[in-house]
Amino acid sequence: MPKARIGNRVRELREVRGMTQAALGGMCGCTRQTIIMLEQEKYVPSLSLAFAIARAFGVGVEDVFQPKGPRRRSADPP
Amino acid sequence: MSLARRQAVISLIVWTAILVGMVIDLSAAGLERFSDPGNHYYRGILAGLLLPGLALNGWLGMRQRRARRAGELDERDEQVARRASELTLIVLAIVVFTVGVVLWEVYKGGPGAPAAWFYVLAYATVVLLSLIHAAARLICDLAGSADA
Repeated sequence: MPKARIGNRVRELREVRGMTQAALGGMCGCTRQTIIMLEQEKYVPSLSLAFAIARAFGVGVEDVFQPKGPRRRSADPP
Repeated sequence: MSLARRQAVISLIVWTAILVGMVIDLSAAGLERFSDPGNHYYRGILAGLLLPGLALNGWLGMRQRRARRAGELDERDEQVARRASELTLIVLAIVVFTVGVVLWEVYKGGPGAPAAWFYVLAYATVVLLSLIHAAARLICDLAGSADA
């Protein structure tokens, strides 16, 4: 089964608000390293962290995180 | 460098040093004669080599509990540690299985494998467990996470 990928606008929203990665991490209860990995889309957060990030930006969770479409494997039919 | 990554690097360095010490100790004693009564000195060194590593593991465990309470470790660190444990289990099982099969193949025609091999396997399992776990934590941490 193709795996759903989640994209995010964390970097964009953070930079617009002039926040540092450490400050955002502090507001959400996670480390700066996790914010870095989120911005590089190497990490998919838990629901509670996703809501905490959205709350820190003052927007809805769907304004920060969006599905990017399934990641196809070579065995999957087109 | 985050706390979790720093701990993985320290653990990797210390356990690699212990593994090197273990190889030197075994080479000096000679595997075939390692279990001889006169070689208790080398067996003592081998057992003593583990102590700093085990003390480090204990200290890192306490530090992690404190860090979790203080918010220095988060859900991603927990996920990385879980994934590293899974990888460690798989790699260690493969290593022990392979060593067992190789010992069987080498000694199946003879009177039996030297007892020292089982001593070495027991100690090597402890060393490799910590070494592989530290390396796996570092790799998983650098990669982000398992499901991104």
